Amino acid sequence: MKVLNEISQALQNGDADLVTEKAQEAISQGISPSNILNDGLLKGMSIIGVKFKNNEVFVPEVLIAARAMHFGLNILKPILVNTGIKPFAKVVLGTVKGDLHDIGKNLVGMVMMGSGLEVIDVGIDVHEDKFIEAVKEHKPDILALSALLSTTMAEQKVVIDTLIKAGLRDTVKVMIGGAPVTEQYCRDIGADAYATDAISASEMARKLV
Amino acid sequence: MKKITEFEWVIEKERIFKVVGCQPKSPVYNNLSKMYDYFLKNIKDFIDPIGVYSFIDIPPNFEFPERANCRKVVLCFLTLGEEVSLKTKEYFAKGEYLEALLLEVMVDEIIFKMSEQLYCKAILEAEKSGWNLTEKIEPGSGNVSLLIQKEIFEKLRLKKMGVSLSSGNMLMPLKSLTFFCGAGEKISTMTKGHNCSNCSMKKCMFKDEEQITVTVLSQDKKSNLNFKKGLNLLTTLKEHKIDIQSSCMGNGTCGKCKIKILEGELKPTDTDLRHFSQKEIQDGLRLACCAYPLENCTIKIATEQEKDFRILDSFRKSNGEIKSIVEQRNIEFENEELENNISLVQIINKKLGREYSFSLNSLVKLSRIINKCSAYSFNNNFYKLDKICLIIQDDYVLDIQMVNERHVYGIAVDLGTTTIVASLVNLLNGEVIKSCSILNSQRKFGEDVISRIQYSASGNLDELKNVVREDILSALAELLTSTGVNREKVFSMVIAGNTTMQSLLLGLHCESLTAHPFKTVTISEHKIRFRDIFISDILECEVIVLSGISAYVGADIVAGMLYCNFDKLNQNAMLIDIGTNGEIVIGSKEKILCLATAAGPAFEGGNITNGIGSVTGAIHEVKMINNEIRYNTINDSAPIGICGSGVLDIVSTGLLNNSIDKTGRFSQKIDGGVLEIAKNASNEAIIFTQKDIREVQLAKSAIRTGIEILIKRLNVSYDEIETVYIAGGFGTYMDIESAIRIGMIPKEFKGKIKIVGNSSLGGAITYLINKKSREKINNILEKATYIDISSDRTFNDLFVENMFFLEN
Repeated sequence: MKVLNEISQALQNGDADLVTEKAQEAISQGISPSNILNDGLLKGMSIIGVKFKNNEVFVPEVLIAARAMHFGLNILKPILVNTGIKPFAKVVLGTVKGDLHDIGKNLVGMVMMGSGLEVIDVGIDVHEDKFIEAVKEHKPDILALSALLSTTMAEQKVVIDTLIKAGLRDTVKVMIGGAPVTEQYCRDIGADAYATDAISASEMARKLV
Repeated sequence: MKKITEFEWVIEKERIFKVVGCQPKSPVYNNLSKMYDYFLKNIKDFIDPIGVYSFIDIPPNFEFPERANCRKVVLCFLTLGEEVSLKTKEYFAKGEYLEALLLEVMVDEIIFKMSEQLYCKAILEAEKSGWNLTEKIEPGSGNVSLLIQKEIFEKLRLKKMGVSLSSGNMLMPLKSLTFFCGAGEKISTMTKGHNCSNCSMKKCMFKDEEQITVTVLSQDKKSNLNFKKGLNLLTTLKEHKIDIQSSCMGNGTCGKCKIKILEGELKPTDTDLRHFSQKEIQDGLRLACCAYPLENCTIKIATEQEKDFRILDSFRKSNGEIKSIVEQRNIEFENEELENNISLVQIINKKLGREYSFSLNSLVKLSRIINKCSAYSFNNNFYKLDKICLIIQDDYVLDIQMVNERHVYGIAVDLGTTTIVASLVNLLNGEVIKSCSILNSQRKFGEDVISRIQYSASGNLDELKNVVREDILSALAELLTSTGVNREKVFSMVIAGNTTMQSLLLGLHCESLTAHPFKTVTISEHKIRFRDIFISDILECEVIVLSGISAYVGADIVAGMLYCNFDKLNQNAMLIDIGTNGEIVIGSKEKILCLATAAGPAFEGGNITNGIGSVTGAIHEVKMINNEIRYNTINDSAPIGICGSGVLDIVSTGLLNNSIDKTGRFSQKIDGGVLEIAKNASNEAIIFTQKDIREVQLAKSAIRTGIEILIKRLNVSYDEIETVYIAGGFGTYMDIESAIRIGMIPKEFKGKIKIVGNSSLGGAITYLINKKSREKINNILEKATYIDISSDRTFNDLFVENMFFLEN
């Protein structure tokens, strides 16, 4: 369908206004919201994702695409709620104790949101107990832990250990990320998944649920 | 602990864009560029940088390389404040991700660059103790535990500054950081600041190990300095022992550390824009203290070396009687008096009719008179001497001399903020044998008293005390060696300085002088042993530190009043001493009023675009002849800048030929609001700007307003003032016609003005040679009232009114 292609294209160009306009046009044409989401918005986002991995586009392009995505979702949200369609998954996201790094975590958050995930950002320098509380309160599908320092990556393990102690480990998948983190480390501390960048994190999250 | 709030905003667009990942060919590039420009313009509104550092003993748990070579550690903290984080959060929440990201990256870059600046300030501070600093050691990075951050937080008492620490030892506000460095003279580390190659942030997008080369031309020498980009230029120059002036220690206030960029680029900072005209910026002038070179460049040291500072050491000689505070009394012994069993001291006391106490030295000499064994010693001429001369101060016998010996000297010191003058005085005939003038070495810690006090308040009181003591000692040594006067024959020393200078000399804490109610520890006269003040035995006499009236009318002015005989005046007179503070006195023997008015440094060449002190090559006279500017320089050297009297003349001639109107604006015919006065030896223009006129207006209005308030308070007319004494260096060299034309001095004073030169020194000498001086000073102090000008209700109106150049 032409209009879905147009949405995808506008999103890749970061043209939020055009995305809004085209999304409304698609709705008035009677196209189902899940169709608009999957074949329009998410398709555009995944193309950006591929280009990002191939170094064809860089973070700024991803960000303005995510922003356009946000605009599109705002149009779809009321209808999606009405039709009973739920977000793919719910993610609690935060940077661990002793670490103030915000950008990477925010990037992950916004790309996840842009991919149709519900994201609850609990912030930076988050104490393990606060993560547990958030898991209890929001009952997320995924807990995503960011650590940017070699001195703070150990905190990711602390959070997982605390989850086990609280008997909550099985209720949630744990994803970790951050500059010093590796696949090996992920396995060592008993996390479920590791991602190298915001786009893969978002894809990984969708794969996990 | 030292607090810093002035930082340069160094930011590199390319670096930011590299970190964000935006390349020029990206479709987002233009958009991002616009955002970048917008943020750059507005970012200062929501960033409020505060840095603090403190040198402390090394805490036991601080482990770091080179610890063994360190004497102290310096703990550093920097924050950009809360608001900036709220701003990025706001953008994220609005879904303006790109804005948020860009802002975040810019802020990270700014805090990093500022932390390097903070580090450079700490280096300058360490340098004063002869120490070097290690590279920055950052808690949470590498092997350094985050617990150190907690310790720095506690030791620097950051809680008091509204900073908090989370359970994970993270600082709030978010954009804050701490680091520390070892300090000591033996440190060998060559890396300065943050060391990217040691950093644990392996994937840091900001990683940058780029070294740059700055080629420096200085006095025909050429040197290549290799250092990490983004480090402070002044610090680096000093580290490489390249001579460059800076009297404010890199605070960006004195404007002395001028450099000229010959090749490469060095963006002008806000501080540069304050100090230089647009043209000078274009010509490549910058201040080294606020320069953080980011690329290879070639620079030239552009400071004019200050040589031969013209210091006022002359004063009008008074014809007062010579009855010095140190007296001599001749004693003649009868033969039998040397033979009987009554002690010499008893005999002398009986002869003089008073109980004297004797110095040890004088007792030893008396013993030689009646003991032959001493005849074999080196100094045998006292044996059986029947005529001796007692050197007495009050009831104390200082020395015994032979009648024809007549060696009695005293030292008078004018302790000024900028200059120190010491005079060696013959106390028998009042002759000033020699004067020695030097610059006050405290200048390198700040030009005015306020910046000195601030410097002393941040733990540097001892340093200020020590340098000024050294200054006075070196002046003394010069006086004694060049005249051949025996130091043992110097029996008295008198010091007159402003209240701050006297306090610092004595090592008194004096922060209280800077804020209302300007409380002083003492304004009384004090007699203190020479060795107690100077930690030296060059002289054995006592030092008299003269009394003052208030925090801002000090002993220097009281000495000036003594010198002008205010206690004897039947008619009213004024004494005007123009410096950074203008002190003005009015009155007679009946009643005296005095005040201090903040004139600012314009008349000392400060805050003037091409202003300079009274040094060789300073333009000190300017005249308009046939519409052409003619000038003279001190010692007729090639011009290098304009000193106070030149500044005054320029404004005066501008008013005369209507190129300055009565509101102080340059007329249309002055091109671009810049008046070229001369060209220096390198053919660069020495200019006078609109801003300079404004500075003069402030200064002259402060003086004039002070004069008017005093006249009003004493309730006299101009006619009732018989004499106007003008004191101080600027007052001595200024053209009185010019001073009257610009309205600094009322025209009614014409014909009444007497230039008295260095009246503070004159007063100190008078004190030495006139025994009655203490009484005279007491009389003056009894009649004198200090007026706090800031509490005068008419001050503001008068001050504004006097800013204009109305026909005077």
